[in-house]
Amino acid sequence: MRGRIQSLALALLLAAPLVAQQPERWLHLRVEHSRDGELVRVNIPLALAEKVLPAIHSHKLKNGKVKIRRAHVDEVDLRAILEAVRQTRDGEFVTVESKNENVRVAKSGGYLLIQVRETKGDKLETVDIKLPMSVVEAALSGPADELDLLAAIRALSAHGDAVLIEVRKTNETVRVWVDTKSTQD
Amino acid sequence: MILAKILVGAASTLGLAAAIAFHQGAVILKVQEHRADGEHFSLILPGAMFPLAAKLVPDQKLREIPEEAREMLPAMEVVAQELRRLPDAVLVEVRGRNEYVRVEKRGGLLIVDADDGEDRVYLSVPLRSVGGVLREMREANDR
Repeated sequence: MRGRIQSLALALLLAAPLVAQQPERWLHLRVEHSRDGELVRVNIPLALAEKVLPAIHSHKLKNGKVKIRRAHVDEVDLRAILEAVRQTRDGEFVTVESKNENVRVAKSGGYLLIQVRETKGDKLETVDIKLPMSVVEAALSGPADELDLLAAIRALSAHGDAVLIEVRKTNETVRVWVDTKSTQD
Repeated sequence: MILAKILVGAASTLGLAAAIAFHQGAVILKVQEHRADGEHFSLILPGAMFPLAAKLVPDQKLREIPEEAREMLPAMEVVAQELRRLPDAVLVEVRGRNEYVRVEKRGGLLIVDADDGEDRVYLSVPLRSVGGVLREMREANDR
C-alpha cells in the first residue's frame, strides 16, 4: 500500500510540469480592405513580446514600461478615466448619442467595453473594443506617468482566448484577437 | 603512413566543416526582375559563414551603425533566439493589388518574400546565423 502511494506521488510530481505548462498564446491582427483587396495579417506569440520588451531600451520604452506625459485625447485624460473605471463597479459610464454616432463606455463581467456606432449614409460602421480589466489594471499598475506594457501582455497571456478589437467599416474590417493558434485560419 | 594520416585528418576536418555548414543551413538570396529582359540574381552561402565573418570584422566597423539600430540590437537578438523555439508560422503578411510582403518562420529559417510588382526578392536566413551575427554586433558595441 505504502509503495503504491509513493508511486502515485512520484507520478503526480513528474506530471506536474506538463499540467502547469500553458499553451502558447498568439496575438493576431487582420485588416481587410474590400475595395482594394488589400490584406494585412500579423501573428505574434505573446511569449515573444514578453521576452523582447525588456530588451528594448529607447527614450520612451524601457524594461517593458512606456513613459507617457499625460495621455490626452481631445483634452481628455485617458489615464484618469481608466483609473475611475477600474475603481467603480460594473455599469455604464459614458453614453454619448448624436445624430450619426453613438459611443458607449461600460464595465461588465470583468471587461472594459467601448462601443461606437456611426451611420454614414445608409451604412452602419461599428467599433467594438473589449479589454479584460486584468489587462487594464496591469497596464496601470505603475506610476502615473507610465504604462506597464510588459505586465499588460502577461495579463493578456494569462487571460485566455479573447477578441479584443473589431472594427467594421464600409470597405474595411479590422480584428485583433488572442488564441492558441499560430495561424489565422 | 604519415601522409595517409594527414589525408585522413584533412578529410575529417573538411567533413566536419561541411557538417557544421550544413547544420547551420544556407543563406539564400534571389532577386527576379519581372520585365521581359529582366535579370535574375541568385546567391547561396553557407549560414555558418556569417557569424564567423562577423568575428573577423573589426569592432570599430561593427559599431558604425545608427544609434536607433544599436538600441534595438539586444531586442533583435532575443527575437532571433525566440523564433528558433517557436513553431512554424507566418509572422507578417501584407497583400496589395500588385504587391506583397511575407515574413515567415519555417524550420530553422527566417524567410522574407517580397514582390512590389517590378521585382521579387526572396531571402532565406538560418536563425542561428542571424543570432550569431547580432550577438557579435552587440558584443562589439558593449566592448
